[in-house]
Amino acid sequence: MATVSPEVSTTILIALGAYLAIVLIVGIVLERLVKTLSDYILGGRRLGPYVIGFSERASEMSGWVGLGLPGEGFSSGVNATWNTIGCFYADLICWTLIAKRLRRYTEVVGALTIPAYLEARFNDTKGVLRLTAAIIITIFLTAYVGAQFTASGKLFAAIMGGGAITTWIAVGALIMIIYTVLGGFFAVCWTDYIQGWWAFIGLLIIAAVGYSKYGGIGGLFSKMAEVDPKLVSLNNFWGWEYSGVLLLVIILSYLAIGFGWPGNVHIIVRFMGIKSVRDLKKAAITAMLLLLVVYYLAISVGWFAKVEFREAKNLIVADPEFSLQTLAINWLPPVLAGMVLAAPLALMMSTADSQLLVTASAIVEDIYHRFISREIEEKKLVLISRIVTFVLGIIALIWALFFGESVYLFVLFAWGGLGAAFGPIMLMSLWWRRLTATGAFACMVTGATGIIIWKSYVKKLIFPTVEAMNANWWVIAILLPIITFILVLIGGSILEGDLGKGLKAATVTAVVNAIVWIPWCYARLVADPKLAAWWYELLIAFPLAMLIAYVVSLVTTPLPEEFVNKTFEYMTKPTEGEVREATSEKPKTTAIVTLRELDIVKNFIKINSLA
Amino acid sequence: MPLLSLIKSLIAKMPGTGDALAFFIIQIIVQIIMLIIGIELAYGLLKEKE
Repeated sequence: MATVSPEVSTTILIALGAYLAIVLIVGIVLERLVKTLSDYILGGRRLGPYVIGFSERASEMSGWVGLGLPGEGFSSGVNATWNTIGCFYADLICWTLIAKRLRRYTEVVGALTIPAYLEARFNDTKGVLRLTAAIIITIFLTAYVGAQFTASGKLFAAIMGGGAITTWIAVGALIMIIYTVLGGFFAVCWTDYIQGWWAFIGLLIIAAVGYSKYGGIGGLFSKMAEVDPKLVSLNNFWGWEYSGVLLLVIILSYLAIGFGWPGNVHIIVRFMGIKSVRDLKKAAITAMLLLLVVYYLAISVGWFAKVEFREAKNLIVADPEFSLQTLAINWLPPVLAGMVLAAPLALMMSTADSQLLVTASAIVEDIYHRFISREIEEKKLVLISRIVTFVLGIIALIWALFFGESVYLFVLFAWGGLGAAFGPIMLMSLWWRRLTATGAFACMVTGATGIIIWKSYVKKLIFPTVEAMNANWWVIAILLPIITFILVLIGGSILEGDLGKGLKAATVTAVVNAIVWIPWCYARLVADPKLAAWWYELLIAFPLAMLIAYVVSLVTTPLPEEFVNKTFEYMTKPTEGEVREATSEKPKTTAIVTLRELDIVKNFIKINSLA
Repeated sequence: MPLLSLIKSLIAKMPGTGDALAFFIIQIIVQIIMLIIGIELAYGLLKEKE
């Protein structure tokens, strides 16, 4: 069944083709800028504030903004804005508490990736933290890339009338893989910039038509109240009225989506790539304003669609998530409709390319370069990075083409898993001096394992029926303490250099996990099982991982005081570059780059020799 | 409070919207204020710190 007219189909194809051609050209043009591994995975820290601001937003927004938020607006009315509230404060925390310190410190120690940052921050000479972090990133993000491919293929097949999902997936994915392989971080950020503008303008066009049609925000709300009073009810979620504890749980779960921000490495790595610390302010304002405008416009699109079409069955594919597409086809001339319809694809590609690059960086820089071949030439490293990026992209593509549904199972874990594994560490390592390497390791494994166990259980992967789930709740309750005990015993013993200390850390991890996790499982799965699915897993996994990091750090060997002082000095004191910029001294490119590289090496040696 | 009066007058003009319009407008205003405070504390919005 064709869902759009042939004229619109052709225009969509042209708009899509134009978009794909633009991003491909960007990749080809920027290829010449990639000379070193730093260029490939971090753009040589040379990107400006507006590109980084847009890139940070585009890397996060994905199909969620083009499809999910309009769908939420359609079903939940004004309460869909709880999404924006949770995401806004989470991103504000990242820009204000993480960005500056992370940017400064990673430049001084020469860390190009988040696992490398963790290794330097905790003076982990054995590389346990780095290897663990790289493995977690690789597992979660490769599946995530595959899911973006699958989602974009389904989206376009649905609009264009089906039958060509594999073609859509393959074409979009191959172009994205090519520009990422060629231009690395430069291409990813600049295409994010284009993709961000594309989505912003697309939503703005629809919003301009909608708000002028309904007489502004007040007129729209009056119309919403007239069409369906639930849309302006503060108790309505997805068309159902809630109150009391359940309403509070749903709102808290919405807000808890924000816990995923600090740990999703493909987003926070943007802070490390900006040209100057002084540019972070402009980048932060750009990103935050873009978030507010795009999120509210995307939710408004759902409201327009509800007022205009009333029922989901009247949308092009009878799904609230297709609100944007339905409005574009009905309200706009074919050329503009084609542009707007390409926007969700742009958002998906902008997320997938960032995830692909971060995964390739983890494999090449954090595993191959760190553990297998430390003395390799830069040129070879860049070549290997490109090959790995290409191979990973193809694996994700094959996965999406042949096992599309199973990819989604992994994605269910990815946002929460990365958020719980890395979020607490990122915040605590930049602000808490007493955090130890073993504390960070215990936090990482608790967060990732907790999310996987909880999600598998609630999604009935372990016990397929509700009765079996209720009867066997204790299995899920004891799994986390047992698994984390084993992992922390191994990792902690290596990090502490002593089996006894590792055993102590593992015992503390297991006990704290048991104290929190067993009552949680009982309360959620036995006392009130109906509520279990409403509790977003990050609501428990993030604070629990943070608590584990705190308690385990207190019982394990602290880092040498002089080392910690130096570490926090690097995070908080302006770098040479900042001082030079403040005094308006013009950069002398070659000489300064050389001096800076020397400084990085010296500082790194200094840090390691202190411990 | 002029801001509160403005919000109340907006709601009064739109019967049937309940508290929803106020909730929507207030959250945007609070977010803008929090953005200004956050950026000021972290980077110095109004003047260069370093």
